[in-house]
Amino acid sequence: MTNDGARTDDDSLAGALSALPVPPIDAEVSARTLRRARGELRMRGEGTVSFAGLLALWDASAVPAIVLLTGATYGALAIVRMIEIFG
Amino acid sequence: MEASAEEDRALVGRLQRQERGAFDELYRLHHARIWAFLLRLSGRRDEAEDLFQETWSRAAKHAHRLEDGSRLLPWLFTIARNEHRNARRFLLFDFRKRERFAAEAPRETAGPDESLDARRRMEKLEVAFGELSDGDREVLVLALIEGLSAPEIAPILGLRDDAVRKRLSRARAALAARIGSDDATGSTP
Repeated sequence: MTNDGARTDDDSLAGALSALPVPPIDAEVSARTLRRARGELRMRGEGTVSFAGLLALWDASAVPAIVLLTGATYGALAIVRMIEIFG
Repeated sequence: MEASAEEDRALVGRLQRQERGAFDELYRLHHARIWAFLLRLSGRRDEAEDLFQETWSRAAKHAHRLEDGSRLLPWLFTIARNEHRNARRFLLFDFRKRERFAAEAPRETAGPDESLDARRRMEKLEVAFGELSDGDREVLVLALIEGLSAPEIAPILGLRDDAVRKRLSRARAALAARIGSDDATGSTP
């Protein structure tokens, strides 16, 4: 690759090698490959911690209902207890 | 390389931002060349199909971590080459024969006018190319078929520029020795 002669040889060899047949990829294999690769793609926001993400997790989970029920039960029991003491 | 540095920069940015459709665009642009590269390296369709799937899965896994200014085709060649190397590492002795693809591939040069002599020369070249070492095939494909320069090949093969030139020279000589330099260049009438 350092002189014109070598460049000409390279060009000829490149032409001969490029002419070697390469069959195209099977369409089904190609589709499967792309599907599988898409499954490996990291989605936006995945793997990061953000306040918005925590709020979304809070909204989507059963934790708020459990907290509210626990609070309401505790409050009701406290009222009953106070009525017993002062009533 | 077909994609310009500017086009690569735009697509790298989209991949970094994990934009919808960016990876599909990467696949659409480069899958055919990665397939040809792996098929030429492995010489077997079944092995090339496995490596092809692994290559694109790995690319998808790491696409969001591409650095600014990355060139996409060399990056994909690097992944494909490493997948091929890793697969070969487990094969201490590989007695499987390379396949001949001449019969199933569409050939631009093939046709009723194609001479028997030219066909024989092509078959001889295919066999000789298949007998080369993995390292020789890699550098020949990247330099002569894909048209990459030594500085572009160096990071793909993990070598310095001058080592790439030496390996290319050695690979060319090895191929010529197997088929005769006239046949290798196709210069015989």
